[in-house]
Amino acid sequence: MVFDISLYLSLMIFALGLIFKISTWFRYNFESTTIPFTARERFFAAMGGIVVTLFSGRVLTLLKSLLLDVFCQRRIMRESPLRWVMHLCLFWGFTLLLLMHALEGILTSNFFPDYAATLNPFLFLRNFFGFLVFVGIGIAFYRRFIQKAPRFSTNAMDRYVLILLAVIMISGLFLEAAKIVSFERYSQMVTDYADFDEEQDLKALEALWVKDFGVVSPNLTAPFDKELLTRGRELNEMNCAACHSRPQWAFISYGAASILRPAALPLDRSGLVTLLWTIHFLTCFVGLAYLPFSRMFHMLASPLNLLANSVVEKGKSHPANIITLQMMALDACTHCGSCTSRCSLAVVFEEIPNPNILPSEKIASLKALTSGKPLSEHQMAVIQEGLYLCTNCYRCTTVCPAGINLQELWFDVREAVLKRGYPELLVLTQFSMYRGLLSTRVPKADYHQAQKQPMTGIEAACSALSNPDDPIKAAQMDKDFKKQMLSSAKGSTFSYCFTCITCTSGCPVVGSYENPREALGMTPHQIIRTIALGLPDLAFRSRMLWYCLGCYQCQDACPQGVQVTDVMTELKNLAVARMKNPNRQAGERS
Amino acid sequence: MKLALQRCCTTPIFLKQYETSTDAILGQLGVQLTDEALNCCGYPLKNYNYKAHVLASARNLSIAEERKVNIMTFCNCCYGTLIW
Repeated sequence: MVFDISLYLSLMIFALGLIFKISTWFRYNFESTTIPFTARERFFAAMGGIVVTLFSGRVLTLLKSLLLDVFCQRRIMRESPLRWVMHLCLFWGFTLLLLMHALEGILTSNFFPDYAATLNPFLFLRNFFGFLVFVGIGIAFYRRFIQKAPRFSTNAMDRYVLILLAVIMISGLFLEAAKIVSFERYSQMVTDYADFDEEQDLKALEALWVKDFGVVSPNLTAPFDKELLTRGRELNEMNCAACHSRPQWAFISYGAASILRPAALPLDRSGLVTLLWTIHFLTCFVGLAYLPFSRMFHMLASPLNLLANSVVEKGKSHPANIITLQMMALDACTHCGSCTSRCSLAVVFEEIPNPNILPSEKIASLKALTSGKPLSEHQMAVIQEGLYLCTNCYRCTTVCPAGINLQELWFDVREAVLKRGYPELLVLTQFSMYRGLLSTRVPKADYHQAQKQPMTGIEAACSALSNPDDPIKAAQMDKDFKKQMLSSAKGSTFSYCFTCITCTSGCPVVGSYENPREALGMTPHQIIRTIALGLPDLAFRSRMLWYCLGCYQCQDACPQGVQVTDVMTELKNLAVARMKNPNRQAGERS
Repeated sequence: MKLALQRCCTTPIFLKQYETSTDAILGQLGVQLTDEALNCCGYPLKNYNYKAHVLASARNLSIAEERKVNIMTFCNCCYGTLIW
């Protein structure tokens, strides 16, 4: 009764969850304003793509990927042999337990007419598969809680899943152990299946089962005499052997049974078998219901992602399928942390504590982003910074065991997020060089808009003296700012400037404009002067500061030894700090 | 001779020929390259967060120090950052 209700309930939640999750692959996207394809179009594009692939030569590519990526998991092998062993143990152990043990009524007993859970090879195999899963859980536990690789984060869901898995496995193990020693189960079986009822025979069989099968009996204890055992063996052959192999074959459970043995009788009478069985099936059903909503969903999404990746190609496949695949990829992420451990910029997290720098954590933010959850301006700024703090080295993509093309994901999300209109200062730094290289892919208007946004943001935040007719008052001089610049070895060289304009004359940026003052706001020597005058806003909002290439020609040419380029670098750092915290004084550092 | 090659983040992706020709020439010259897990040199962070910029290179230099190898790079920006 409880079994049936909980089974159907969990199956229902599982099915609904599955439908919901799969529907998000077609419904969600990164864009906030323009929706390139409707969910319907994307669904039919995907179905069309699948059918076309299945009836083309690419089905061989698909099969190869199934064999190597899904069944042999070569991407994890490349990543780390220990993790490969762990994952293969969990994957095959669990899959085979599911097929042979959990679905015994549907699959195993139909394929093998003489199937009995207590008969070899099934008895042994169940334990062997269980053993594999235990090895897997053991390695997973070791990696997460003992080895503790740097920046390998364990979130609440990781813990729930590991605990759930452990409870299922341990309850199953002790359930079998409790059944082995249970006298009540033994008596029940004798009542149901024995075709004799003389007392001596009953005693003989019981003696054999106590001696060879590990049953703990309240009536009999070893040693037994030989004749009794011989008779017991005969009865066993006739009545039991068709369904029962020796329990020693259940090598883990038999070990657990020997732990239970001293307390077997009272435990058996208090209904340990029923209790463990209830725990076992309930946790299995909780796991089943929780599966679509947890990282366990990668069991479905990761293989699908690996397979789809082997045949979907940007530029060749339907663009709708590219979006759908990216949404699926978000679910394929197992939060394993491979990407983060190889990330070129992960080290920066120590100084800029924004978790979105780390690729494995970025994915979580992207899930929130695609689901259309309302995000505050601050949250958006944090995600955007994390997305942009990336050197585009493709290392995350190369190592991802689930085969997610993370780098392409970052490219696409970045452009979509920039379109939301929040200014991103990193667009003005060298981090945006890749944008120039990829500029053919981005619509021209969007490309320039993203560059204008941060400039507009800086102009709004650093607006002092924006009217050239206003007189400069002495009170406007920011002494802290000047002090800050003077306190730095390179920054303080501004004071040697005697405004000879050599820096500006040699500047290739200045040289490429007909009217530099209009295009750049200020030229290099003027920027140096703003420090002497204590007017940071003038420097911060001048485009010259941000358009500077860092070629060091000004610094090389300066007759006074002003380290012009380095001064500009310091100014930009101060401007960034101000933009991040507008209430802070210009001179204050983070 | 043994060198740790700072392979740069973007060069091997967008300018593949730099990496392949470096590998080919150093191979001919008999220079051994150790594959240390170096990260970004920090160059792109220079204008954004100076401390993070220094930190990234400091990590690379300390890895090289620990393994007792010198770092070599074929990228202008990595080079500029490392000789700082």
